[in-house]
Amino acid sequence: MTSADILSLLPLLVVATTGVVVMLAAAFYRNHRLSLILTLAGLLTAFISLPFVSPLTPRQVTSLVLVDGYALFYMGLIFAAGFIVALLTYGYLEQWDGNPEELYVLLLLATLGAAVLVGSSHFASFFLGLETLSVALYAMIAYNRSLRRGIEAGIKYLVLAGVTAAFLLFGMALVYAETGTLAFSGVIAVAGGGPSLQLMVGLGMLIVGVGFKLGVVPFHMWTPDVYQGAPAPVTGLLASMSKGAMFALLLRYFTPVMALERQGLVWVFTAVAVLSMLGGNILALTQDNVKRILAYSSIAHLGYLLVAFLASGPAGQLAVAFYLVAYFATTLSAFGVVTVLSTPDEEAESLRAYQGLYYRRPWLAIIFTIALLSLAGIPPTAGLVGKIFIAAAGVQASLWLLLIVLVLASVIGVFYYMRIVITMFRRPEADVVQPSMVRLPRAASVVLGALSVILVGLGIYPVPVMRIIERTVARLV
Amino acid sequence: MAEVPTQYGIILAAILFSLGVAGILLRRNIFFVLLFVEVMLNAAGLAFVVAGARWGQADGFFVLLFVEVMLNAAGLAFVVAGARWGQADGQVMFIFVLATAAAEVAIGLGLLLRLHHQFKTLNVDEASDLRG
Amino acid sequence: MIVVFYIASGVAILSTFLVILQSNAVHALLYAILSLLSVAIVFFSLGAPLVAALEVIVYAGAIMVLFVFVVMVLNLGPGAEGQERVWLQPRTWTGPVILTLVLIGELIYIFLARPGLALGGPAIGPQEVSLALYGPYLLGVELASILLLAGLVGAYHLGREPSD
Repeated sequence: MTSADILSLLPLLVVATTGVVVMLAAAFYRNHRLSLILTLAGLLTAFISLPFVSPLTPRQVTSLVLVDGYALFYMGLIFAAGFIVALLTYGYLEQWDGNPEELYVLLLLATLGAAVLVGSSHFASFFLGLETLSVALYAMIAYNRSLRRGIEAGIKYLVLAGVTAAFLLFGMALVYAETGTLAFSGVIAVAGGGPSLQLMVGLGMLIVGVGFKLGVVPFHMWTPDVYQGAPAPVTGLLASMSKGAMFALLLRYFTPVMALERQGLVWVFTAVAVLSMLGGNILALTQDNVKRILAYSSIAHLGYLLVAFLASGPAGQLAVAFYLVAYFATTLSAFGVVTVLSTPDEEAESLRAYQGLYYRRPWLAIIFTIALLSLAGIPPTAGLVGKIFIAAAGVQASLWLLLIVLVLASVIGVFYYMRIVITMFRRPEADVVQPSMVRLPRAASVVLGALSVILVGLGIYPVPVMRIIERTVARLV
Repeated sequence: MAEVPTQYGIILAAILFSLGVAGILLRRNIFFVLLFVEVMLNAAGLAFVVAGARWGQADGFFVLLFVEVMLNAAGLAFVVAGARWGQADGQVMFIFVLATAAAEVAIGLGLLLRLHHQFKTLNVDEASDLRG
Repeated sequence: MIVVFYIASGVAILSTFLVILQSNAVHALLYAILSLLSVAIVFFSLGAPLVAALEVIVYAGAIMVLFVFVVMVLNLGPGAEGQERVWLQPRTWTGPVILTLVLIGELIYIFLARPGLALGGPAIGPQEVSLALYGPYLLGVELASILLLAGLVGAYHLGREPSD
């Protein structure tokens, strides 16, 4: 490895170092604020280093990691998500009397895992990045260890992710046995020569593993439970970083596989997309727990993303990248509102807790409304622009069935998003117990405000982000 | 070293893997997971349904054990594949699988202890606060 | 050596199968450890002595020992047996068993349909593996250590008494 290699890994190195530093700091001097500041500084540094690394790209560092524009873009997204969640977590954990510092270490390590995932070009880094992300998440989900639902959610997620990992591994091993190489490029090269049955089984198992991680139908079974039981900021992380990183990987490496015209694969993904879009939205209609509604909604959104994935080509890549930006902003904003209204021992989950929110905390209600509008795809938000991009890509690729389902599902979605909005603006009945007024930490308010501005801004003027995407992501063939 | 066909090694791994899956299916109660993966010429497919099976008391424990069995089987598959190609990569992957299994078990057992502490049982079925 | 492979494989399969049937947690563990040890022998017969040793030392020797500790702490011995037995009715296990057999059958069919190269050949010893770990897989090693760190911090946090 040359020094240029190491330099190109700088963002990853920074995050890893920060993780260790925060841990050491907590070992000597436990201070919540210090942990937060170190975490934020680290993530900020990593983010800033991205454009500096850019001139060195594209660079294959050993056969495990490929640092290129695509990877850097998504790393940026991941670091931003980590930064935001860290800020939101601070206010949340301040109200808890356990040790908060470990969460920041785990957060940083999860961020690292996700970042490795988007830069991986080899089964080893794929697997290790994924597992680092997962293991950190297990502990984060069950972080409030005296909370029954947290432990339950943690166990469910662990079992699920463990089985998923085994499936993924087995699939990788089968592919390896067939092709003799663990590097993605090698696998694709061999697969091009006419895939064998064994290879297909291996690929199939990989898809199962990926499907579980993305939480799409029919691999979605425990997603709502885990979302509900985890602390709100962690759920935000799960919904954004975890799914986003996996999807970026899927897009990069499965696109060439799909391009081999494997009709069956296309059919499988189409079915998954349709089921997720419809299933997610329909199931959300019956819920009156806000976290679960958001969980089902994220299932549907992954379905929308799959449409763009199936469209492939530059239009599809652009759509995915933009939609992920919008999705990250929206998800973090929504869960941010939930976080701010919750304490570790009692979360603001049920719809009733949001009744009349506008009259108690007008700005929060507005922020949440904007996020919900974006999720529903109503102008003038980023969510709508994202959907338009997806639709455009879909039209270009003549994915008519998927487009019809997309529209249909979006319409269904409007109902339950609007239900939340209406609940917030309805005057509370006299007998409704008002949750205690949570003091709003300044950092969180700034973050949430900024996210809303971004959501609306992107909805009105998406061009700057589009330019960035074109320069980094869309250069993939 | 005599001639052991690669396929037999893979088959062994597959059997162990399947037994791991069976273990999870049999010993866990629950929810219906429908996994659909097609195994035919164009795609891999497997469908199975987890039928409700009542748990005994030591359940969460067995689930973790079977996850370990599955991971071990996957690791075995890697070593076999590596041997087939005469590369060290298979063994390297196995070492990484080992590290993963260790990390997962550490947290898994920690959670199990917490579960026992909170719910006074290891029966994951009874840990169902979250059914919506 | 080929005989060794088959015998060890047979033992591994049998003992793993028995793990499923045990109602006593300790017995299940013992069969699991037996399975792991036989897999270690299989590794050796495949020409992978390093991972054979690692399987024994780490998997059977560390990970399974963790399980043993849990059994001790939670006292999962004979007391728990009765419960399990009551619940393993034929009605409940026929479905999963059939499905698993289907799974195994399918996989075997697929794998037999492809003639693969024989697994004979020189053993890939510790030296080669180490060279790979310090060469192309360097990043992997570092990542693995970060992974273990995450496991460490997580387990530490979860293991503490909530009152601390």
